[in-house]
Amino acid sequence: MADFDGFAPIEAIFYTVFHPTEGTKVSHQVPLGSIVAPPWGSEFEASQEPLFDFDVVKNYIIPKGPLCNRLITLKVDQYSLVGYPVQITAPHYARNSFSFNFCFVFNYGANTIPFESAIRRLGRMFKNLEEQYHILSKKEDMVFFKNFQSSSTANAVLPDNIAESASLDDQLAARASSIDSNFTPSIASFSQLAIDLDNNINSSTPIGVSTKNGNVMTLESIESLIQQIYQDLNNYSECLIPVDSGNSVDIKLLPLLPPPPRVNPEDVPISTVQLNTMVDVNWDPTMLKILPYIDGINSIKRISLLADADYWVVKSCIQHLMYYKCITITDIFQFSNIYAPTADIDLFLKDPNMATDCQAYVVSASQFDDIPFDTCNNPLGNNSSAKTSTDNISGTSRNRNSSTASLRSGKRTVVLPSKAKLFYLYRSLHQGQTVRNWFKEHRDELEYIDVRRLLTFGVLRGLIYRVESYPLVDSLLLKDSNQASMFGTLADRLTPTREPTLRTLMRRRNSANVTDEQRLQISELSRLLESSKSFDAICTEMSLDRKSVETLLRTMGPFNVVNS
Amino acid sequence: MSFLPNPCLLGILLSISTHNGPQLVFHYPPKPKDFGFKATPFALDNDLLDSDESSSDEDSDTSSVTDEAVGKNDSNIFQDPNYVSGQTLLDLLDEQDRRRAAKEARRLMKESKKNSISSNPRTSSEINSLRSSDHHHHHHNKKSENKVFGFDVEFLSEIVTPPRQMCNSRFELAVDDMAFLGLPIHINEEGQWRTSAPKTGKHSKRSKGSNISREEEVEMLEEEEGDVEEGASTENTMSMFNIVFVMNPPVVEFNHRIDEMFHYVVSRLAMVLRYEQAKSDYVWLESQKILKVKEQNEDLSINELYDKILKESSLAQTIAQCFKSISTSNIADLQIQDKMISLQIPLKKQFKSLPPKTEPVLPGSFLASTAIDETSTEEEEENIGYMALLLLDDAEKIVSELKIEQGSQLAQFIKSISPTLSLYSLSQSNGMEPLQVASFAKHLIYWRRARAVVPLNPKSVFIVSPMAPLHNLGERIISFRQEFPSLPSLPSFLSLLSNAKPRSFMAIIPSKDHKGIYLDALSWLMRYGYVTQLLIFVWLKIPNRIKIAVEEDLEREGLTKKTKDSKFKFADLSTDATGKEKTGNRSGSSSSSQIRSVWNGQDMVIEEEDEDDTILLEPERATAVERRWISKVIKGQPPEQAALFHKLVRYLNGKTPLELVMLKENISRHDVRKLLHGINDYIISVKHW
Repeated sequence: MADFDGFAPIEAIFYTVFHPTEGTKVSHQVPLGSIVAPPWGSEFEASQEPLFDFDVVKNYIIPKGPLCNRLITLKVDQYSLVGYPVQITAPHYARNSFSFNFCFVFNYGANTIPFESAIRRLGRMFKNLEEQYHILSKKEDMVFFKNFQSSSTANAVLPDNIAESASLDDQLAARASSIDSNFTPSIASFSQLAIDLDNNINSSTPIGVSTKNGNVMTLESIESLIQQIYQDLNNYSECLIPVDSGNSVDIKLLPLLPPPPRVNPEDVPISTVQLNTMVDVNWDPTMLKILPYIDGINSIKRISLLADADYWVVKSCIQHLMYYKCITITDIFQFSNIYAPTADIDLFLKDPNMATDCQAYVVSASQFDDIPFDTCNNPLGNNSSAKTSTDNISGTSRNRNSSTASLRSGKRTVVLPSKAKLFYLYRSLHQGQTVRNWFKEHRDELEYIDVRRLLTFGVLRGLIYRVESYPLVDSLLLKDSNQASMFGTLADRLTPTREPTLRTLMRRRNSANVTDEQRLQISELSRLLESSKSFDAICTEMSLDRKSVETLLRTMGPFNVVNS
Repeated sequence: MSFLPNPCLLGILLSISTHNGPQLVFHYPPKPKDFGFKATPFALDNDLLDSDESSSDEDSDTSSVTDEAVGKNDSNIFQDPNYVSGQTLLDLLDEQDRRRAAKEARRLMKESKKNSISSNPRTSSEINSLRSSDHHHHHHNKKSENKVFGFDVEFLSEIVTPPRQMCNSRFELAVDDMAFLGLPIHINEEGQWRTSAPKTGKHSKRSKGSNISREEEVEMLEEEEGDVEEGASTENTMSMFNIVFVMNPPVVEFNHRIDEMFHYVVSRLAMVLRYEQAKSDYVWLESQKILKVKEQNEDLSINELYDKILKESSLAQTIAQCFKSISTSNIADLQIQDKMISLQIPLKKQFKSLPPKTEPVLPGSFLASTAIDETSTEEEEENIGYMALLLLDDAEKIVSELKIEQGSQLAQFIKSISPTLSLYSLSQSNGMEPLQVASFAKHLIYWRRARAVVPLNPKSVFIVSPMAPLHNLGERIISFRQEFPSLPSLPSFLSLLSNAKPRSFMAIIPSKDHKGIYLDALSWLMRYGYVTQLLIFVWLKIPNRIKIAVEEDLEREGLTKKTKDSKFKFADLSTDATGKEKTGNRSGSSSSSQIRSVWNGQDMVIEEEDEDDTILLEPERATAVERRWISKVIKGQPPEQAALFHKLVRYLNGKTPLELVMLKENISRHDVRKLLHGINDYIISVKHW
């Protein structure tokens, strides 16, 4: 992926809760001291000054209800904070609700989008865990519960484990007095508590949280969890941290790619990677079916015909491959095509690798001595003659020619064209000149060069562009506007018609013996002409070659061809 | 990044903070859509450009397969349209196909009533298409009428009123994929809005009740009408205001769209308002007006209320105007007190290189490597004096739209603009400084009124641009016909230009008398992006015999004893990779230029052709040896040719088109042709736009 340059580093992660008496406070943070000065006195040395003033933003970190359970991104100072504040309302909490947020800190301009779904998921997961097991609220001490002091009302308010809560609450009450604000000792008491709790849960919930070894909370502390997320994501762009036997924090960062662009039936996919080496068992059957036909020659429509697959499915497959940049789109190669240099043709001189790549790509064993030019312009090619001709260009011709050559000499010398020659060939393309004529003019220089590959390389690298031809019929283009009728006739009169006598002649003749099939074709053609489609698009859509389309057009009246 | 404009502006809020706490004074539109905090899906298709195409595609696009998929996945897709992964991609594509029709209808509708005041600028088809099955999509229900963007008004005012430490710098809060963007302005420690403006300190006598006190204030203000300015400064209890733009850009271009909006619109508007607030308490006075109208007319329907507010308050009008213009990618011309400011997010309508075919662009975009826009380098801008301006509209109309005084110098200048005259000659005929003309020109370009082009000349060559907007030609055919009734129709004209080898424009002008009208037609075609000029770019190429000759000279002079190395670089890059790497991807391990390989079972020998020519990319920065080559090239030419050559040699770098070189150095076409003919063996030219 050329346009992807790694994920933004996480500057810090912190976990905040709304404390019933102390309000919003940062419970855990990595790196230590990045958000607030560490509360544990001199035992831990803060590694840094706080990145920003937490008090200023705390109302956005633990916000009021309407902002909760949504991904919140806030820019402050030089940083961008991304969090998913969660608020759980339940009567057994001290303030009838419990609020927390796992918040990630990035640099101001960082692209936080790849992290967003992970942060959202993290918040949602802990929301569920908290709702079911109070995994967070019980972590530190019991101040989050109403029954902190007395267990008398507990039976009524703890909804999850009504039957067991009495015993649990007794324990809680017993411990509550001994728990001081120090965090570390509470872990010991808590693990005991957790086991008890877990036994209860196990009997009442089918989730089957493992209890056998008593490690229902492998989550040692939130501190170590966020520490690990912080390190793993920054170092490996992924993490896999079990929380308990049923839950884990699994994050894999993926770059966000823009959706693939729209493709047309006449577009020709060409692979940028070895597609067949990437196939695995999970691949879509249609995808497997079309792979052999993605060769830089077949249009999408033709691929669907060749592979006998539905066009819309094929189109989706092609877009899928485009999304992962496995293919790009070029045009249908025909000898009637016109190509011309773009403003970026100088890249061939300036990019040190391009000329070498081009040499390697275009060198060919043989000249195209016997290409049947005139049958090449059927882009859809569902008749056999056009099919063989396009195949010829792709390589079978090579096969045949080289074999004849080898019969003569046994060994063949191929001259790698010089870079200057390739450049001159590109610059010699211009508007108003078909490939056929260009080829005739440069026949000698094009020895050992695969013309199709030369042109495809130029188009894909933006050195040259395909000049598309559009047949335009004034009266059809004016159809929509209310002045159409007036201008239709006016246009007819004023358009310099090539051979008006012939035209009227054709018309007269055709009105007499136009077949039903032709009439259908004409109506389809008119529809396509109204939206100014190129010849390639029309030929593909109608499964006709350009000559037949031109013949049809002539029966319809005067038309202009614009090459753009 | 998409080239299409996509402001994604959902609404604009004005919140203030007084001693009564934060307050949402005004928002526009009256009933903004919140899209359930979802981002605008990234538009794949180009329905803005080719409605015919997409609608004709539509019938077939939503064939049975896609319909099924849509029915099944409707709600899932909306969950996260932008976090599309491989698995959901197909779903998304189907979904987007389906929505194309709805979006198109909306676009057309929008366009048709772009300028009408509409409280509900979007059509019902859009609402239907965008309303997901999510539960928080009941903004049309009665009960949520006082919700704005899905929030209670009081709560909304709280979240867009950040604490003071976050003020006077960019404020950006995103709730899911909906962003609130502003530049909150807070009074400073001395109670002043700006450090310069002296103000009396604020006092807080009216902080007890909320509504009553404000009403009293308003009344008192009315009593003191005659002396508003002084009264205002003493009554001012507002400590902060924030103009907040609410946006939901597509996730893939989220940061880009937000930055764009902040840079071009939000920050500029906020600064102007701060200035006016400091000067005359403008924001506070207008806020009071709006709040008063709101209080007095609680029983009115929201539309009637907004009509009243917009009539009363110029700030409300400004906000509404700003929303309407910016959200439709137009220029917002805002009147704030006695000041006029214009705001816009610049459109990408000029391209130096051809964008990929799959990338949608604005119709009528102009393709020219000489284009000058706000991304141009200084070097490119230096050329502007030799370029002409192509007005994108009628000169009179531009003068009146820009509210330039008739008869002023600028108006004179605009009226004298012609695409055939360079700015330099314009400045002479108008008696203006070239620098001033250049700055006027850049102004017109920035504000979408003009485009810099190489002065039109019938001897130049023009081609139909590969970006020509050939879709929806109907209307253009008609307007071309109206403008130039005596000329061939637009398609025939384009056909004339494009069906042969490119030739000078003169070739299609039937007679001298037609020259004027054909040139007018040409500038019309360029204005709408149908046609672009084919320019000539030249490099020097040094064949081997020159190089060998120079080498022999050097040996003779005893400057080098090196055995001759016949491998010259193909282009004079500082990296010599091109010269050395001859094997490319082939499995070549031999040091000779012969590689054996097996091709289709045949034993094959690949020989590399010797590079003959070296192309000098930067003759201006030629090395000593290269300079000798260059002088060898011109040797034997008549002295006046040689002089001309030395004048031109720095332009033979493939960057400056000859057409512009002729103007810059004031050399005739004939002389240039003669020179290039003389050194034909040593130049290589390419023709592109």
